Order: sequence, then structure tokens, then C-alpha cells
Amino acid sequence: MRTPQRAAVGFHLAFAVLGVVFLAIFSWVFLKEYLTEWRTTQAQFDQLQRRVKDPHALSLAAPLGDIRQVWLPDVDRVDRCTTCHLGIDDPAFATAMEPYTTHPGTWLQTHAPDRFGCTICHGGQGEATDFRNAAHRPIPNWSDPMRPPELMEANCGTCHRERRPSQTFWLERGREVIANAGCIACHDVPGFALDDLRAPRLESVGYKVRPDWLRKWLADPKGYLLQARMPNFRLEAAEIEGLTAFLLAQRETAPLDSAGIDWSKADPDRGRTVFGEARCVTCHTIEGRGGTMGPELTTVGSKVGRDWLFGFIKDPAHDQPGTLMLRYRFTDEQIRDVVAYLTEELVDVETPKTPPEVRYVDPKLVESGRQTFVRHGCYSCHRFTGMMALGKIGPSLVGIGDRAIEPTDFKIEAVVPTRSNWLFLKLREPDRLADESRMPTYGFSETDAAAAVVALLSIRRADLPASRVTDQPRLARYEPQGAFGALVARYRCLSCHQVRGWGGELSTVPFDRIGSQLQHSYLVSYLQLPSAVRVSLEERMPQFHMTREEAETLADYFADVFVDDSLGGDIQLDAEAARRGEQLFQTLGCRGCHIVGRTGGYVGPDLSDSGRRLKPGWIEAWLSEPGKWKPGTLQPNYGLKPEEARALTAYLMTLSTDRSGRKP
Amino acid sequence: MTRRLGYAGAIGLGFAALVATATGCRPGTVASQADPLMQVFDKQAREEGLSRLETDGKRLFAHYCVTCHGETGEGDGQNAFNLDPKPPDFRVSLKLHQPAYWRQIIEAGSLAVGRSPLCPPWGRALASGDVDALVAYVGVLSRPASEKPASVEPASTTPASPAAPTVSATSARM
Amino acid sequence: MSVLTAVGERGLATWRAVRRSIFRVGWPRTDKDRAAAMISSVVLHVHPAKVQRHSLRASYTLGLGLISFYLFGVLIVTGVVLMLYYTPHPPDAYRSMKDLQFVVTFGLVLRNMHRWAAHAMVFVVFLHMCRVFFTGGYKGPRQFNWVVGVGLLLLTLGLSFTGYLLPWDQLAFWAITVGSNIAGYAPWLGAEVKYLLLGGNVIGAGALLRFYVLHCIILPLLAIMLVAVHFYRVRKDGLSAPPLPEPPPVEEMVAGRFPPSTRSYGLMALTDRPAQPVVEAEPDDEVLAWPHLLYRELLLLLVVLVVLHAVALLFNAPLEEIADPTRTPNPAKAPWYFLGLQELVSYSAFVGGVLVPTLMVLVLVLIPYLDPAPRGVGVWFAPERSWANRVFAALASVTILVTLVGMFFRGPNWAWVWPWTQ
Repeated sequence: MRTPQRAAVGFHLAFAVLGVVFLAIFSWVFLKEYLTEWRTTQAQFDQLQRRVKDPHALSLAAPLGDIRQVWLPDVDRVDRCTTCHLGIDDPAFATAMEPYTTHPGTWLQTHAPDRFGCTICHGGQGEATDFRNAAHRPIPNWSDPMRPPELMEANCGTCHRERRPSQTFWLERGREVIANAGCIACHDVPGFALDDLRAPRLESVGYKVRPDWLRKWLADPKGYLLQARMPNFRLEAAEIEGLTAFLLAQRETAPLDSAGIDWSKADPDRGRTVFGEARCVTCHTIEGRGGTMGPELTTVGSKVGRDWLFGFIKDPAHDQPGTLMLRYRFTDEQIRDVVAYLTEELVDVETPKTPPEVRYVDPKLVESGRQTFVRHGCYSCHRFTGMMALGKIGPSLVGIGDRAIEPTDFKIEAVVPTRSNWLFLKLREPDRLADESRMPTYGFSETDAAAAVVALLSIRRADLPASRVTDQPRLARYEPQGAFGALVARYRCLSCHQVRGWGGELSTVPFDRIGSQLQHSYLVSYLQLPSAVRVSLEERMPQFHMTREEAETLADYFADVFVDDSLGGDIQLDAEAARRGEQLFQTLGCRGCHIVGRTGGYVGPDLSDSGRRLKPGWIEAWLSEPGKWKPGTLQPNYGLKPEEARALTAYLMTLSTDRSGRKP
Repeated sequence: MTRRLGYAGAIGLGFAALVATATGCRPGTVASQADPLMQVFDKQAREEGLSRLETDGKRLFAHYCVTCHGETGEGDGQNAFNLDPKPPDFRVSLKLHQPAYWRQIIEAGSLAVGRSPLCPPWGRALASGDVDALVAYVGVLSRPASEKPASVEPASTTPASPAAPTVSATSARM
Repeated sequence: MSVLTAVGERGLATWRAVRRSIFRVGWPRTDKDRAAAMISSVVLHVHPAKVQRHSLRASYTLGLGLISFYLFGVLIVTGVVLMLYYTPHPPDAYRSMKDLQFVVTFGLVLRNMHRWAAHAMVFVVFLHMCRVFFTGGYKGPRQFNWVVGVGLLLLTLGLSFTGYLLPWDQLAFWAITVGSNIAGYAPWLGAEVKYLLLGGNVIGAGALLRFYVLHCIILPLLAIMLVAVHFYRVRKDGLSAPPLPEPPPVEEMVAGRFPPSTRSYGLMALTDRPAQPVVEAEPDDEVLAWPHLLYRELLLLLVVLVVLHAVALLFNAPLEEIADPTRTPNPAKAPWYFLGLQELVSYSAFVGGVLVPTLMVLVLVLIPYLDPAPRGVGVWFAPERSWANRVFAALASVTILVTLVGMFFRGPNWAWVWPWTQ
């Protein structure tokens, strides 16, 4: 019988060993806690800050050995990054090693850490207190890792919702790509509105285009026009036939009557002259040169019919009510000559001169074309009557920046399965990620697609409190009425100019205070015959062939309404001031950028005519503080004293010669 | 006895199978996957070889300075023809002075340092961060052609080298 | 000097008096004291003063019941500490898990221990059940104890299941979705049970709070009560069923009386028995609980603690993203102990969700009454019970097999995958 005294040695040995092992493991628990990464990091920092001279008082006063955090309840974030990044807001640590370095740049001055924390901009898991779990690099089960600087711009965009946030190259570009591509037509994209869309109405397209051109266009829009907004829908041949039939059957509004035109008398050379004077290349490209507001005209003769083109130039709004193209005051002969020039010279040499006479009357083909039209969502951009009630065919992009992407969403295995890669591939090759995708191929360049991805990633699910969001103010529609309004509507001033932000961006001259900037008589003569004010620009105001009465109506309205009273007032312009101004003009080297007389630089406007063109109140205000009137202008701010600005104004008002050196 | 052994053996085998399956079940090492989006950014960064500050400076330079100084700072901008004296060639002129001098010209104008008035003062138009960026980019332009990142050279003169300095690229990524 | 010794003696005497008031029997040095220490201490008197030698053999019981009790203790201790930091309301629940992981001192180790102890307990309880079956420990007089044990098994599963939801991450949310759906498959009762469990029709804040209360109050209380009954029966029926070489002689089988060799001494038995000196009737193979049983129990406790600590320090309990009711992982898997059921459900909802679980519980509960013959008790895989052993072993193997299939061999859309290709 065993007694306790003779208990087996085996037991005692087992106890001893297990006891020691248990103590070792139990002490491991304590070691693991008191030797965690953040504690050792803080200990090293403590040593470092004794070596750094004159550290910020705050970092010495804050006790080490504690976890530090920034708690932002309004965005439900806790950021414990400063537990290790101890010198982040202390300039004394600018040359220290990571993680103690100061934050680069001036970002912390505009985004104070105690209001923004860190993960709002950088991403990552703020709750963590060690390197790996903070998602400095991607980790499983955390969908918002820290991002490289390009993708960080998407985080900027979460709060900065304006179309062009400053200092963000990729985000700004991406938002522009999205606006131009017209994603809003098929998807709900927060921050973009249907007003941004520009696609022609198709209700009367049957009168407009040649069938062979239409087929080629539907097969590959960019084959005709490199800057085409319309993407490639990867249509099959049967679909193209059906769509062609459907579109050619759309003949709602006949073009303006050109029956009385004698085409035999048309003169393409005169047409070319009229074309040049009208400065059509401001908006249209021909053989690579010109603007992009309107379609390219290099082969327009092979695209449209002659009669339609006549009617269109005569009154663009007849066929396309929302068009940006203005209505010149041409005579019918002038239009005839222009049309002859366009249709005879600007043709695609490979297409036959006369279009094939094909009539599309097969109703089944038209119906199948209609179904194709609906199936691919063409009505979303082209706003077809009778289809207005149909919804958007693409999924909503609300919260796309947070959408979880499973690895199974990728059909291609050799790609890192992140959300940004999925979006990138989707934009570049929509048919590659899904078996059947109606999303067309846009042919984005790599950088455009990458920028669009950044912009899309800024669209998050969670709603931010209003105090955190910045946005541009909504633009009020500007649609003037009356005689002025009719002229503005006819000549489409707002296609290029802006009033209170509403309008086109081709011109750098908004109307808001133009009556205080330009003299009335100058405006009247300029509107009838625009001249080159800025020598180096390619875009020029077209010659509208408007009547004198029309020019005076416009100039009167400008002078009465578009004024800024702060720019008025009489200014004493005596010869003494003008002399001083001339001296200043020399001293400051203004001729380096401006032409006066015969010589000068090409950067700014020609000042030779200032005395007849500009108003003195404006000149003085502009010279005193150019950045106030036009942010980003190349006109420098010299910090002129008021009498210096006045002297320069006086001098400029004495300049009334045109470039030929003649005085009036 | 053998029956018991049999049963014990069966249980043991089952347990071993469980352990084997559990340990065999690890995420397979994936063959190196491509990251197409980051490749686009990396290509930009590699081609440019510029830090973020320098890239900001490059955009500012393109907006404010290229008209006179030219894209590479050699003084061949489209307006340079009209200037007298012409803008200097940065590859030569910048090394004669410190960056603080360049900064002074940018902020106060060339007139303020006793030269021609043709380079106007930008100090009131630019934030100090913007001036830092410009100074950084101007520093890039001051290097001789062999040291410059490929993107700075105009396309016609130097083909973009794929072996752009990787050291500056990796430091630039931070 | 004498003042000092006087004070010292007075102090010592006081100290001894205080000690004796707490520990009635001091550190035992004689066999009588050892026996007395066992039965006079509230903590220790769950043990008898003497135990049979066979029940000390590790290869007999494998200590599985004791291990599961230790795990339960660890779970209670770690669980109470975790309760100090946990908030049972989404999404604070998830945030408190992150806080435990990163901020709370020892938080990570605590949580890991709790989770691994929970998983281990389910497994050990299962093994304990198998051991009891294979050694015939459910035969008379232990039939009801077996039923109580089945109740404890169900409570263990319930505790693990309710605790599974508390982290409120994707793993938790969807596992409980699957589990409660399986519970809902039963006709008539299923929907009611599911509604009762979740406190509604969806898994939301109400379900979380309900699971929290179940997990921390209701089920532990029930478990403690059943554990008390279970221990009491174990204590009264003799610690573990000893081998019965042959049935006891008929003359000793009196109505209401149990074979003496299976029982420890109780007051009433002494009066009922034929007049024999207790000492002479003592079986040969009984030893004092102190130190033999206690030593072994302590050793086992150390082993369990060492293994638990090691596992908790080396392996982290999983925590996925916060629960998102709009995003279902593919595949969504129930907790591992229900994966066998989920596998069967994938063939037939009725079979897997209703038939098999009901039959399993019913059969388990009825086992001691289906096979009451006292044969083959006390040895592993006794040949007299080979048929029963084979059937049980087959069922247990099938259970383990389907669970393994559900764990490792099922991928997206519940399609078959080979685990090494994942």
C-alpha cells in the first residue's frame, strides 16, 4: 500500500517539470504584454527625444507608457497611430527615422490631428497598436489598408466633393474623366448630374447621316473620331444592322427646306473663306487642329447629307434644341458655299461620293433595332422621347469606394484581388471581368482609367456629417430673357462664356463684370468683327456676322447690367501720372509679356489699344490684385501702391494705337 | 486485446487524418500576381523619378514658368524670343547660386536681386508650400542632363529610360 | 527577552487559532487526518475520503470529465474578466473586441484562452461521452447520470453557440445565421424556437443581447446546476464504474441495495447492511483520496493550464470584418460542431435539420434504458458489448467524418474542394 511518504518519484518529477513549464509559460504572458511593439517603440523614442534639441514641450510633457489615441465620434474612428508616431507634429523630428519623423509638408496645418486623426486620409486600422495590424500593408479582414499617395487622393475626395479639389492630380483628373465619359447616364454617381451629359438627340437622325457611315460609327466610334465620347458597345453585326435600321427610321423633324438652293452655283473656295472667317476651328477639329467642343469635321462630307447640313448650319437649334453651336447670320449663298466646301473637300476618300440608296422599311429589323437600343441603354445618353421613363441600366455606384470585392469576382486569377484593381480592369476591359456585360468599352488610357478609379474610390458608403464635407456651391441656371436673351440664345454666348459660373469654359472672360471692364464702343465693334487680343491663343471668338443693332443691344446690356460698382469711379489721369506710369512700365518689364506698339511678349494681351478697349477702374483694380479677379493668373502681383497702380493706369489709357502703329 | 488495439488504432488513425487535413489546409502560395493599377502609378513614378513635392512643382512650373523658361528650363519657351535679356539656361545658371537665391527670385522677382525685371514676383500669388514645390522642381532642372529623371527631358531628345534611378524612385514613393 | 517570547508565543497561538477556525483540519499528517481533510472541506468534500484504485488509472478514464470541468472553470474566470470590457450592442461589440485585442492589458491572451478553451471543451465533452460509452459507464446505477451528461453536452453546445455570436464579426454573424436557420427547419416548433432564440426574425441588437444573457447567465446557471447533479451522482455511485468480473452473488442482492463494491460508504447503507465491521468489508483496492487523487487532479490541472496558455499565446482567435447583413460570405459556415449538420442539411433540410438531430438526442438519452444489462462494465471495448461498441463507434466516426467534410472539404456554394488546393 502506498503511503504519501513513498509517493512515486515519478509524481514529484512530473510536478516539478510541469510547475516550471507552467511558470515559464505564465511569465511569457507578462512578457508578451510588457514587451509589446508599442512599448518598445515608445522606449526608443524616449531615448531619441533626449538627443533632439529643443523638442516641442508637449511631447516631453506627455507621459510615455500609455496608448495614445484620437477619438473622432462623429466619424466613428479611433486612431492610435500616435502611440508609435510620437514626433508626428513636432518639427524637431524632421530628420529622425521612422516612426518618429515629422509629417511631411504642411498637411497637418490644414488638417489638425485632433480633428482629423490619421486614418481618414491614410487609411489603415486605427484601432491597432502594432505595425502589422495597423494595416500599413494589406492584411486579411481589413478592407481599408494604408494607401500609396495616389490612392490617398481618393480619401481626400471623400470630404472634398467639389469637382476640382486643389492639390489632387489624380482625383481631379478622375472626376473630369467621369464627367466627360458620361457615366451618370447609366449609373447613379453621387456628385454628378445629368446636366453634364452631351449627346445629340436622335429623333431625326434618319435625315442626317449616311447609312454606311452609321454602320461604321456603331461598330467603332473612335475609328471615326478619336475624341468621341461615345464608347464602343461591342455590337454584333446583326445588332448593328438592326440599330441602323431603327435609327434611319427616326425622322421626326424634317431639316430646313433647302429646295430653293441652286447647288450648281456653289463655290467651295468661297466657302473655305467663310469657314475661316467664322473661325469654326475654335470648336471643331480639322485634321488634328482645332477645338473639341464640337465634332471633328475632317470627313464630315462622308457622314452627313448635303441638305441636312445646309439646314443645320442655317439653324442648329431646329434639329438639336440643346446644341452648343450658334446660329450665324449667314446668307443662304454663304451657307451654300460652306456646305459645298465641307461636302466636297472634307470627305473620306475611301467612301463613294454618293451614298447608296437604301431604304429601310423592314419593320422587324426596325423593331429589333429598337430592342437593341433599349437593351444597351442608348436612351440614357441620347434622351429619346418615349423612353424617358426607363431607368438606368447600370448598378448604382453609391458606396463603390467601400464595396467588398471577393476574389471570386475576378475571373482572372493572376491579379491581386483588390477593389481598386477590379475597378481598373472593369474600366479598361468591361467584358473581361464578367461573362456578359452591357458596359461598353471606353478605350480609356491607362492614366485616365487609373484617375477614374481614384475618383470612384472617393465615393463612400458612410454619410459624413455636414461639418466635414466641402463642396462647390450648386450653380444657378442662367437663362436670360428678352431681346438680350434671344441674342444670347442665338449666338450661344454661354457655350464659351460664363455668368456666375454657368456656361462654357472655352473663354477666359466671364461676363460677370464685363461692362466695367470693356468700353462700350469697343464692344460694339468687337462683336461685329472680333480681333485677336491675346496673340498666342488658338481659340478665337468667331465672326458672327451680326448686325450693328444686335451688337449694340448686347453692348448696352453689358454696360447696364454686368457691372461691378467697385470698379467704377473717376480716376484722375493726368499727364504727370502717365509719365510716371510709363517709367514704371519700363522698370517692371511689362513688355516681357505684353505687346505695346510693335514689340513685346506673347504671354498677356496686346496692350496697344488699351485706351480704347479697357476702362480705367478695371485696370487699376486688376493691377492692384490680379489674383483676386482671376486665381491662377499669370499676371503677377507686384504689390503696387495705389498711386503706382494709378500711374500705370494713366499710362495705359494713353495707348490707343493698333498694332500697325497708326493712331486713330 | 486485439480488438481493443483495433479500436484504439482506428481512433488514432482518425485523429491523425484530422491533424493531417488541418495542417494541409493552408492558403496556397499564389504565383506572383500582377497589380495593374499600382503598375500604372509605379510607371508614372518611375518615369518621372520625382518626389511628390517635385511633381507638384512640375505642375506649377508648367503653368507659370514654361512660357518663358521652356519645358526643360533651358530658356527656350515660346515667349523667350521676345525677351531681352533671354532667360538663362538652368543647367548652367542655377548651380551658380544656392536654392535660397532661387527662392528669392521666385518670391520677389528677378528685379529684387538686381537683375532684369523680366521674371516677375510670384510670392503673393503662391502659397509657401507652392514655392517649396517650385524650388524643389527647379532643383531637379538644375542637374545636368544625365542625372535628370527621364520625364523631364523632352521626348525628342532623350528616350525615356526604363532604368531610371531606382533609389530616388523608392524614396519618392514615400 | 521574555517579553518578546511571551508576545511571540501569544502571537503564534493567535495565529494558530485563526488558522484552525478556517481550516478545521490542519495540514494532514495521518491517514485519519487525510480522510478528515477531504470530508470536512467544502471545496474538497466533493471527493470521497477513499477512492478505488482503478478509478485512478489514467488510461481508464483519460481524465476527460475532469478536463472538461477545468475548461469550464477557465471559461468562467476568463469570461467574467472579458465581461468587464465587452458591450453586447452592435457595433460596440465589435469595437470592444478590437479594444481587447489592442488596448486591454492581457486582453489578447484572455480572449484567446476563452475561445480555445471553449472549442476544446466541446471536443473534450464529446470524447468524455465516447469514453463513458465504451467503458459501459452508463449502466446501472448510472443511467440517469448519463442523461444528465447528455443535458450537459447540449448545454455545452448551447454555450459555445451563444458565445460564437458575441464578437459580431462576419464569421460570428453568418455562423449564427446558418445555425439558427437549421434550428428553424423543425416543423411547428422550429419557427417558434428560432423566434425565441433571436428575439425576433432577424439577427440584430435584440438577438445579440439575448445571446449574451443566455451565454453569461442562463446557460451557465443551468450548467452549474447540472454539473452539481452530475458530480453528486458520480460521488454517490462511485467515481467511475469499476470492472465487474461477474455479477455479484445473489444473496447479497437485496432490493434497494447496490453491490457493495461499487459504492462508497453512506450512512444508510451502514444501517442496512448485515452487521459486519466496516473495516473487514473494505475492498482491497481503495486508497486515500489525499494524496493520490488530489495529486493526479492537480497534475492534470497543470497540464491543462500549460497547454491552454501555450495555445492562447501561439494562436490568435479569429476576428474578421464587422458583421454586414448585406454581404454573405461564400460559403457561410456554421460553427464547426454544427458543420456535420450543415453537411447533412445540404443533402436534405429535413434530414439534416430535423431528423438527425432529434434522433441523435433521443437515442443518446435512451441509451442506458435500451441497453441496461450490466455486462462489460469497467473495461474498454468489452467483448460482451462488441455490438453496441461497434454501432456507437460507427456513429461517432460518421459524425466526425461529416464534420470534417463540412470543415475542410466544402468551398464556395458548398461545392466539393480539396483542402490543399484552397
